[in-house]
This record gives sequence, structure tokens and C-alpha cells, in this order.
Amino acid sequence: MARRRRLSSPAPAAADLSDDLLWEILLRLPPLPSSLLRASLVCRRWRHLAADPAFLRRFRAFHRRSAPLLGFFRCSGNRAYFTSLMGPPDHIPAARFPPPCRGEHCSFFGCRHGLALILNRTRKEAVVWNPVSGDSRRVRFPRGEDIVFEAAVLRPAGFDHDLGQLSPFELVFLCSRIRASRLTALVARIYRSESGKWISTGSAAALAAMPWRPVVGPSVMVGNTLCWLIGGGDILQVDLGTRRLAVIRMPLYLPLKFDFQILSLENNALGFAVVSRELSLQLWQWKVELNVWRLHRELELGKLLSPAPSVGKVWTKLLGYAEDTNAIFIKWNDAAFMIQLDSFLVTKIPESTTNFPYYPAFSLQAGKLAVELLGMRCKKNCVSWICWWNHPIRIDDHLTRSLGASHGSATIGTKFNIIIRR
Amino acid sequence: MASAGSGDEKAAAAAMITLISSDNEKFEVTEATATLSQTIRHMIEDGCTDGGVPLPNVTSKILARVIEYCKKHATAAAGEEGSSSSFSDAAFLEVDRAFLEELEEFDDAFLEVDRATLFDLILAANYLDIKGLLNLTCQKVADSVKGKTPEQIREMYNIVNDLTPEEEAEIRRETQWAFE
Repeated sequence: MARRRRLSSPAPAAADLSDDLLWEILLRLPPLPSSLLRASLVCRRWRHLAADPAFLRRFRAFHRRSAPLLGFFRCSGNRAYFTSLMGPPDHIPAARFPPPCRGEHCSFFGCRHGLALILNRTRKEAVVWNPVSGDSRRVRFPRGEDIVFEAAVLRPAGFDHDLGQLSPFELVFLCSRIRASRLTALVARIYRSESGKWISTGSAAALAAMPWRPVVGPSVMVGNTLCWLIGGGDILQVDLGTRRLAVIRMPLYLPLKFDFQILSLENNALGFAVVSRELSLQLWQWKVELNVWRLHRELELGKLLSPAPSVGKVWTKLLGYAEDTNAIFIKWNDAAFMIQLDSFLVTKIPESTTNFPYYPAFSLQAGKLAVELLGMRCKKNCVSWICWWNHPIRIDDHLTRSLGASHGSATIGTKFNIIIRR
Repeated sequence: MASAGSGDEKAAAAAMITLISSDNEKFEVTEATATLSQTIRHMIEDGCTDGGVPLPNVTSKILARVIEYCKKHATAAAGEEGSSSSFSDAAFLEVDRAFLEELEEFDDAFLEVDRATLFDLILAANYLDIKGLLNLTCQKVADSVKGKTPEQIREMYNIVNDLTPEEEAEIRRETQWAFE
């Protein structure tokens, strides 16, 4: 039987291409959840290639810079729901990522490096969860009378996690104790999955000297430090290398109700963002050598998102931050937006009627996880995927220029991160 | 096809290479243009280009297109090099951007070909080891598949579905959302 023919020339047969060339083509499919899944259903050869671990490694490396944010966990009460940021066919249902434990005693403590952290205070255990593989591990709280105030999960420095692994990971707890009816200064406890042991740090001198104040998460990783906001507006830094704690004072007194957030700026510089009374998003940078804060950038939110209404108060709130993709989530009147800080692309978030904190779930690293998921599922003869988001709204060109970002794919603009917390 | 662009006359005078297509058509190009192909670059380095470079895997129709691509990109590369010393940083960025835009426009127009030609270009780019062209053409095919269902992809590229209904059902069952 003759092959189907097109009007002018015979339709090219993909069979004419070697595996190497087909590989090169599949490599360039967009890093969207449905891309490789659909390709896998074309024929055996495509499926074989798309599921090849070597191919998936290349795919991951190829899209490392452009992998969009996959979605986030939204916390409501004690439950965390995965919320995809994409429409069909890339919208992955929340049911794909059922948390390993839920209930009134479980609290969600955010995601990092493809892992999520849940604390069960009744059982005094941390649950480290890889949402993609579904694997989880329970870690007993450190012994003693510690009260755990904040916690974070991360991968050890220099570890490039592969294949949806759960281990190795590290946990960092901020704890305090009650002594003579008062809380002692915060100390950090660090757990390494490889040794299975907790290590303690001393308290920061500045912390010990001041009255006890709460810490507010989720943490932000700046270089090799984890940073939390301390009630009253200072920043607590836990250096993971030296295992020392330090306190950095904010430039001005900012009560907690103010919207502000620790930043991880270019070259791992510490910074923070705040929404000013004039409804600008200000980005401040900590100049280590000078020991001072400097205003780094200022963005008019009305221009960036949508004009503020002429009557009534504008309601803004910083909802979350994706460390790896440099994206912040912000509530602006009745809608929520994601602002990509290296390109200033703005995306409206669907069904964002709540003020619950957003924990960006799978960003750049998790982009990798998406690929790993495909590889993993293929072992069971099934293919699955998780999602990224791809409906950016371009902001005004003049604003893009004034911010120093270029058009298109070749971005010349300064890259910087903001971190926005609940 | 054989004449060099005005921008690289000096180079043309210095060294011309003759490429011979599978249907025996000869194309004379500058060395700068030819060496965008790593395959030809190696042949030049090895001194085996006297009497022309036979390219038995590339027809004259496709070779003409490939040379068109190489000429444009070789000129752009030369232009960039030349401009770097004579402009201030800001002016250089402007020139650089103009180059990039022009090149992008050229690439877009260059890719306005039927799928059979596109595949031939991929094969030629691979054979001649022209990374930019391979990237461009493979990306074009990938873009054409973007957002298409497996059925549409099969039809576009004449692919026979050799997955068993069970295999297909298994994949779809777990990831129905990706096919909605």
C-alpha cells in the first residue's frame, strides 16, 4: 500500500532519521508535562527513546534554564494541596501527589530541592517526602525538651539529585527550650540522613542577648545559609558550612504584618523585598563588605500587575517564593500573580482566592524531577509526568526596558531573586 | 551560489573551497563559510580539499540551502568580530542586537520549507556537522510536534503505530490528564 502523500512532496518519514537525530528532535520538545508523554505514545521507537535514562539526563540538562515552575503546594489548615499552574493538557491533578501523612497534627514546612517537609508534632517526627516518587522517610525529633519552631529540608551541598531519590537529605530545625518559665534563645539542630544523627549549634550571641522572638518560615536558602525572618524584622542566618548562627538587622523597623521577605539576590547576596505604602515592590540588598542595606530595585506593582483601583484600598500580600526559578507569588486585590524576577514576566494564578501560604513545589530542580518521574515510571512500564506552567503574560515593554531586561530568549538583564513569604 | 558575499571579499581572495554535491554540481565558497561545517573544517586541516570536496550524501538542492545558511552565519560571525574593537560597549550591544535580530529573521525565513526538505536539511547538517543548522532544524521539527496528539504526530510524519492497545492503554490510564 502506498504511503500517504501530501500535495507537493511525499510526507517525510521519521523512520528516515537515525536514533541520534530523533533524539536531537525529542530533546527540543518543550519542557512541558505532556510533551514526552505524548511522544511516548507515538510508537515503540519514540517511547523507547523518550524513556531512556541517558536521554532524560540530556533532556534535563538541555532545559535546565528554561524549566518553568511546575506548581505549588497550598496549605489550608494542616493540609497541603498540590496546585498545578498549568491548563490542559499539562494540568496534573492534586491527587497525583497525595501527602504521606495528614491530620490535625501535621504541618507542612515547605519544599526544597525536590523534597517536601511535614512535621508531626504529636509523634515528634519529621516526614521527608519526595512527591514525585511518593517515597517518604520519618525522622525522630532530636532528643530533649526542644520545642521546634521552624524546620527546613535540603540536599547536601554539591549533591545533584537524580532519579527521584529521597536520600541524601538534611534537616535544619530551629528549637528552643523552656527554662524557668521562659523560652531560651533559639539554637539550630541539623540532621544528616547519611549519618542519621542530629548535630547541635550554639545560639547566636545577638539572639541570646535579646528577648525571645518568634521565627517565621518558610526559610530561604541564600548561598550556603538558611535564612528565616525573626519576629520584629531581623534575619536569622544558619550557616550550614560553619554551623554558626548570626542575626542581621533590618534597615528599619518593619512589623511582621508588613509584607516583606528575605531575598536571595545575584551572587548569593542576601536581600529582602517589601511592599511599600506606595505599592512598590522594593528589593533591598545586604552589602556584606559595608555592613549596610542598599535599595537594589523598585517595581511599581500597579504597572506590573494591573492598575490599582481608584477607590478603596489595594490588598496586597506576598504569598510565596520559588527559590530556583526566581519567582514570587503575590496577591493583588482579588487575584494572585507570579512574577518571574529575571524576566519580569507575570503570570496570573488560577483560582487564587485564598491567602494561604504558597510553597512552590517543583521549580528548577523539580523540573529535573519531572524528567526523573518519566524515567522512573517507565521502569514500571508506565510513563507519567508533572507539570510546568507556560502562559506568561508579557508586561509593558517600556517597563521591561527600564528594568534592564531584554526581550525574547536572550536575556541581558540583571538576574536577581526575591523571596516572598506568606 | 558560488560568488562570495561582498562582506568577505578579502577572505574569498584568500581561500576558496569547492564543494561537490551528490549530483555533481560544484559550489565555490569561502573558507569561512565552509568551515562552519566541522566535517569540512577537518578536511581542510588535513589538506584534503584540493580538487573539491565531494559530498555524496547531499544533493545540490539541499547543498545550495546549506551554503546559504553558512554564508549568512559566517558573515554575521565576521561582523561581530569586526565590530567589537571599534564600538563602545553600548554601541556594540546595539550592533549585536541588530545582528541577532537580522539573523533570527533570516533563520525564520530559511525554515519556511516543506517537511521533506527540512528532514534533508537535518541529515545534511548532521553529516556536515553544522551545529547551528542542526539545532535550528531539529527545533523546527520539535516545534511542529508541540501540542499535537500522538495520532496527529503519526500522521504528520508517516509513523506506524506499533504499540499494542494494551501498552497504549497502560500509559494513558495513569496519565489521562496529558491527553485531555
